[in-house]
Parts: sequence; C-alpha cells; structure tokens
Amino acid sequence: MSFDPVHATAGDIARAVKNGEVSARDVTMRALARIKEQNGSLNAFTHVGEERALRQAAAIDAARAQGRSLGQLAGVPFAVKNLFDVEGLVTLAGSKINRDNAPAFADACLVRRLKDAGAILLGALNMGEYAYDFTGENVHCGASRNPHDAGHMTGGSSGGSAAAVAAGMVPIALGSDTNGSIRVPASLCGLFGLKPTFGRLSRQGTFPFVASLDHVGPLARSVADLATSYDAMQGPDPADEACAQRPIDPSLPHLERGVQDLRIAVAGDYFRRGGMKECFAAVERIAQALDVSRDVVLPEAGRARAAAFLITASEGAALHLQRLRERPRDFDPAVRDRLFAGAMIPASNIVQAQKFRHWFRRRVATIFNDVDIILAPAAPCRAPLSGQKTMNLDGVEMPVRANLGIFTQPISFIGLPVCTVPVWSEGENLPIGVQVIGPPWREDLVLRVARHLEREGVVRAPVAGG
Amino acid sequence: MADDEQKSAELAAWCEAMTKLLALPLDQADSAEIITNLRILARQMELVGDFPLDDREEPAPQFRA
Repeated sequence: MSFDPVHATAGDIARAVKNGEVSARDVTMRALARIKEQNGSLNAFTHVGEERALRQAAAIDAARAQGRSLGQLAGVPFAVKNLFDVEGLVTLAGSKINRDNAPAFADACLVRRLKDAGAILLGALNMGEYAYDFTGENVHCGASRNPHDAGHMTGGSSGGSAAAVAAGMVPIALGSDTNGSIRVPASLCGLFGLKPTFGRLSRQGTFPFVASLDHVGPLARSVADLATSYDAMQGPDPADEACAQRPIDPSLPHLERGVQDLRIAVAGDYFRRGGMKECFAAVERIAQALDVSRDVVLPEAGRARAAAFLITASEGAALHLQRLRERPRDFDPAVRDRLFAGAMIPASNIVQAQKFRHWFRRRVATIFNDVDIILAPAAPCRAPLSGQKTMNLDGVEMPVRANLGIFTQPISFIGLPVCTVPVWSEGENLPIGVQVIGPPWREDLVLRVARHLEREGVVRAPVAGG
Repeated sequence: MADDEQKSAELAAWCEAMTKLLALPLDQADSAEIITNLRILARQMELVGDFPLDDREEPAPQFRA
C-alpha cells in the first residue's frame, strides 16, 4: 500500500477511499497496527474496538463497490474520549467507579453523526478522572504520554485524545472541554482543537462533569479536518437540553476566505501576565503574522476564572456527592479532595458566580461590536514533566492540575467558540498553543483564521516523530 | 493568634462542620489536602463575592452563549 494513512489528513483518507486508491479496510488495518506500535508507550487508548472497526470498514468498501455515495469522512479512523457512550462499552469517564456500570446500549449522538459521515470508530481514549483535570494523568489507567516527548504531560482532561492524534493513530479524536480540556491538551501536544460555542454540539450520550459549562468538540492535525468533522456533527438534538435549536451552519465552504476583512485584537491585561514567556511569545508570533497591533481588555477576566472555578467545584461535587459518600477510596485522591472541598461551597457563592457570568458575557459581547477575533494564550507553559505537581508562574509556585487552564477558563465560562492553533519554536521539541476566539456561533471565523495561519506555515500539527 | 493561624483554624472548622452536615466519610489523613483546597476556593469566593452586581442580574445557571 503506497498510501500512508498515518500521516494523511482525514480529507486525504476520505478522497483516497472514495476514488479507490485505498480500501477502508486497509486504512483501518494500518491505523490498528499504529495503535499496537504506539499505545504501549503513550497510553492513549483504554479500549480498541477492532471487530467493530473492521465491520464498518467492510460496509464502506461494500458500499463503494456497489456504487453508492460515501460520506465526507468515508473510511476515516477516529476515536473518542472515554466519557462518550459507545454501544457495548462501559462509559468509564476516566474512573474506577464507573467500571461497575452497565455497558452503553447505544452510541453517543456525535459518535453516530461521525459514523453516518463514514468515519470509523477505533476505540475509547484515556482521560483525567471525571474530567476534573488539566494534566492527562490518571491513577486508575496510568497517564497518557505526550507523543512529542513521552517524559511530558499530554495535558487534560482529553489527554488520550490529544496523544492519539499527535501520534498518528487517528487523524481526528473527540474530547470534551469544561474549562479547557480540549484546548490545553491541543496546546501541549501541538494540535488544532475546536471548542465550539456552548450549546452548538450535542452532549447526548456523554458522561457529564459540569452541565452548565460542558462542551464537546474535535482535535485534529489539520484545520480542514476540524471543520469537516465539526460540520458533520452539527445540528439540534432534543436529547441534550443545552443543545441550541439552530440549523447546521457549515464552516467548510468559508475556510479559504482568508482574514483580510477581519478585525483582530490581542487579549490584554489578565491574558498578558501569569504565564511563562513562551506563551506570550507565541501570541506575539501569531499577532505579527496577522498584522495585529491592537489590544482589547476582557474586563474582570480574573474574576471570570474564579467564578468558573467555583461553579466547576460546586456542580462537580453535587454530581458526585453520593459516590463521595459511598466510595471515597475509589476516587483518584487528587480529584476526591477537590470534590470534597467543592461540596462545601455555600450556595450564595454559586448564585453570585452565575450572576457574574451573565454580567461578564454582556461586557465581552460589547467588545465583539468592534473586533471579530481575539487572540490569547491557550496554556501558561509548554507541557510540564509527567508527574510534575507544581509550577512557578510569575514568581508564584502553584499546582499544575488546577492552573494549566488559567487562560482557557474565562473564555469557556461564557461559551465562546475557540480554535487552538499550535506554535513551534526553533530548538524546542514541544509546542504551545494560542486561542483564536470568536463571538458566539462564529466557529466559521475562528476556523478561517486558523486555516489562514496553517496555509501561511505559521502553525502546524505534525505527527510526532515525523 | 496570627492572621494566618486564624484563617487555618477557620478553614478547619468549616471543613469539620460541612463534613458532618453532608455526611461525608472524611478520613482525617485527607483533611489537610481538603483544607488546602478550601483555602484556594475561599480566595475565589472572595474575588467573586466582592464584585457588585445588580439585584436583577440573571442567576439562572442555564446558560446561552
């Protein structure tokens, strides 16, 4: 087989399958072999569904042989964070406790939609316990490892998703993002990651963490792959109360429109302090490439992060309260102790945090009257060492687990769409990401900017190891 | 009592009271880590709580971007 699906984009794979250059079975077999080669050292997959994948590949090859039309993602391997329901599998959500649950009786909505587009599910991916994590570490399943340097973290909580894509096991993976759990691992593993607007993609069939903040979305090595998979997953879903009743708004047709007509600014103040110099240098590099010299200030962004922190701790604790009472020793201690503390927050503080959320949303909305895109760091540093507990940011020693998301939390707090783009510096083997942030429901704009940067060679997401 | 000691004592009392009220099976060996987390939360609570908001500001947790 001359076609190389490991380094190919999802778009290349689908084209090759459709024109008969390669079969869906061959693509699937090669991806399964890649997982066998890499997963022992990277720990990205917690389940590989070989039989199901080969069955679906056979169905796609048969459909092609019969001259039937194939979907946009025909034969494209993908995998999902193990909080997505997969028919016949127990939905672990990174936990030990959920292992006692019954297997899911059906696929999650987004798994179904990708499958309907022809994508082939290869399995379920490692994640931080119950998604309360920015590290990608997990005491029950072991840490996922960064494919660009296995001595470093993937970031979390969608750590397995990022590792699988960066290692070339799959071109697309799904993750969830409550406070940064797509954007932080995309940053640490050098990928494009899309956190859509809150309510854009259905969360039906996913294990929740913080219902009022949970988002789901894709990670990929090319912007076109993000856009194609995102478009395939759009659409209202009455089974998710938070999913907006909006028609499908395709992003792919707009992808090559460039950035000439866009007003772009850098997030100042809060987003220019509290990180290591490389995160600000990465934003500067993107700003220069886009010829941006303007700053905007998101007012009270520090308070926004604090409010997201409180809502997360409180809602997360409420979700797990009974499990905390009955099986405290079966939690990851680092997660359990944060949840215990979260259960103790007075209700008045949570009501104040929710009220502040509406205030902050309105203030940021006025900024989008004058700009179309805002740039900000995606993480305060490159990937920390695996197992590292604290880091020094601006002279303050702080826990890694709680603070890798300091720049992502204020943005997801008000549900804005973000595409993380990966920036590489000469002499460094680890990347760092920049958030390209748009107004609500304008995923098309953030993807356009990301695609422009990719086309200009400013950002890239190579398979680790070349 | 120094401010820091007083704060630590308050956090420990908060932890103990809420543990009983919520019937949480807290192992004493874990209380130091929980109190560390409460200290972090208390800082965030102060930040958010200090901010003046209109009485009519929407408190509904169901959020639309």
